[in-house]
Amino acid sequence: MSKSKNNASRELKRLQEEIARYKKELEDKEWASKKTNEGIRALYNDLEETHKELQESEEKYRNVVDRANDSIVIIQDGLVKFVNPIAAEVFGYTTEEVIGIPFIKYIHPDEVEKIKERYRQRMAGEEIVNRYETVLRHKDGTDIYAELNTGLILYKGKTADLVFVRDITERKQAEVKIKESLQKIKKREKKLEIVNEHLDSFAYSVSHDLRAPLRAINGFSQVLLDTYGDKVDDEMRHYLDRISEGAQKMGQLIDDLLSFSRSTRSEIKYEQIDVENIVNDMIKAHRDIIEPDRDINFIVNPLGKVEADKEMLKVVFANLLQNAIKYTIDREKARIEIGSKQKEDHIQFYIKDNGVGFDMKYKDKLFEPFQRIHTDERFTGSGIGLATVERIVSKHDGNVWAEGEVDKGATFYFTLPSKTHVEK
Amino acid sequence: MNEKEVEILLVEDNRDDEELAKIALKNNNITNKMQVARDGAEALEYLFGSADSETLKCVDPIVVLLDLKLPKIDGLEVLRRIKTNPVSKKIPVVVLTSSSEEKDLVESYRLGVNSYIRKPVDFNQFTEVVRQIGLYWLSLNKQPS
Repeated sequence: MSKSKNNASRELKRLQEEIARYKKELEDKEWASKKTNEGIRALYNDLEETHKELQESEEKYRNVVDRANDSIVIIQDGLVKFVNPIAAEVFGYTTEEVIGIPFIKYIHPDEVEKIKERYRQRMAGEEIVNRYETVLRHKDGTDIYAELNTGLILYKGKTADLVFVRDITERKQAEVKIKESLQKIKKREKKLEIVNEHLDSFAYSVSHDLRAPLRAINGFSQVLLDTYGDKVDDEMRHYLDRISEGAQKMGQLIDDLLSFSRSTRSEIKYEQIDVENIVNDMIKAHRDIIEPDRDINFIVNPLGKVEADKEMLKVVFANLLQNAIKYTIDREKARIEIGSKQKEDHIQFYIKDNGVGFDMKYKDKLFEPFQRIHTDERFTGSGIGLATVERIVSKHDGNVWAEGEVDKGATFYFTLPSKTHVEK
Repeated sequence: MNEKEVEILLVEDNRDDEELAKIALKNNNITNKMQVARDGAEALEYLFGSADSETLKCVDPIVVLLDLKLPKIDGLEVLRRIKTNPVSKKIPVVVLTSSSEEKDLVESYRLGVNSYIRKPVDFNQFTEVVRQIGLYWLSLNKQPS
């Protein structure tokens, strides 16, 4: 009996060891399983996070594509595979209508060859320009001027063409309008030129034809005086002189009017001018030809160089000098000084005389046409000289003004900007 | 020709200007024989025999006083014809005009005018101008025969 008792206890011990072993195995397996679960959970969390990021990313890009101002189109195997909402709208279709259709359907017939060729080149991997203008076709047949920006992408595992289409129809229409406006302006310019030319020759003909009878009036009254000098009494001579003078005055007036009208209409032709040369020539002409008997003290200070219209500048100096000469007629020793001052952005010229001067009260009237301040018979004039000077100086963006005192003389100033107009 | 040779050809369409010119010349004792042509065609006819001919008909005048604004054939055209014809181009031409247009001045010199003078309205000045022209072209200036 003890033998079986020993067997039983040995068996019991063996079983207990087995149980302990199984229990340990189980524990190990449980632990392993727990670890696996944790691993799976971690993977699952990662997956969830990645999925979320992907979703966010997709949403972000979808927003961009959906709300983009430009049309976005994906073309693959020559067919439209994707369009964003705006693309469909721009072309006048619904999204469903365009998917799967050959893309050339949406291109203007004249542009099809060019675009087809570019597409082929791009797909073949050749280096070509990826941004260019073309013309596309709306559903209703109208033209859409577009700027394309293209590039290759991988779409669903295959090469595809990603195209951004910018509608530039408005811009093109504006360009066309601008071109038309420019042409209209050019036409109008030409017309104005012609009108100006007509005015020019009209003014010229008028002045030319008006002078001829004046020569007759002046000439023949002078001839009368010369021929019948001894038979003519003082009164007759006086009247004949008046006739002559009248004709001369009118001749001068015609010249002045012509000069005045020219100064308004002409374009300035800029050139570098040596001012002293002009002034000295005028003084010389006056001394030698016009009034060789008068003794005037001309003082010409350095006058420098200036950029202006030569003929117009001559008119300015001619008028101002003539005035100075005229209004110093009474002076025993007439003195006329011409000079210049270089200022920061302009040159200032002055002509100063010691003649009869003027009342500063009227300094603004001086430059108005036909406004005469001196009604004295001695100072004949047409009243346009200074107005012409003012016009010309204004045209050159300069200023003109005068200072004077009755019986003490006058100084006339004018400025010319120092801008460069002439190419050196 | 038996008569004294014409030395001054005055081309002037205006009768007043013509008469005043004659008086001015007389006042200056310029007694050279003068021929008057009243328009461009007459001037060319006088010089060349017809408006189209190129051969010189008359003996050269010593000086031609030429107005620019002429009927039929314009003064500048007359100037051009005189100065481009190898036979006549040595004849001095003095343009005596009331034009102060820059383009007339420029074109005249381009065509080879000898002098360009603007007619003054004042008769005394005009007489002085004529005196100087006469003095220069009829006395001072030497020309080949």
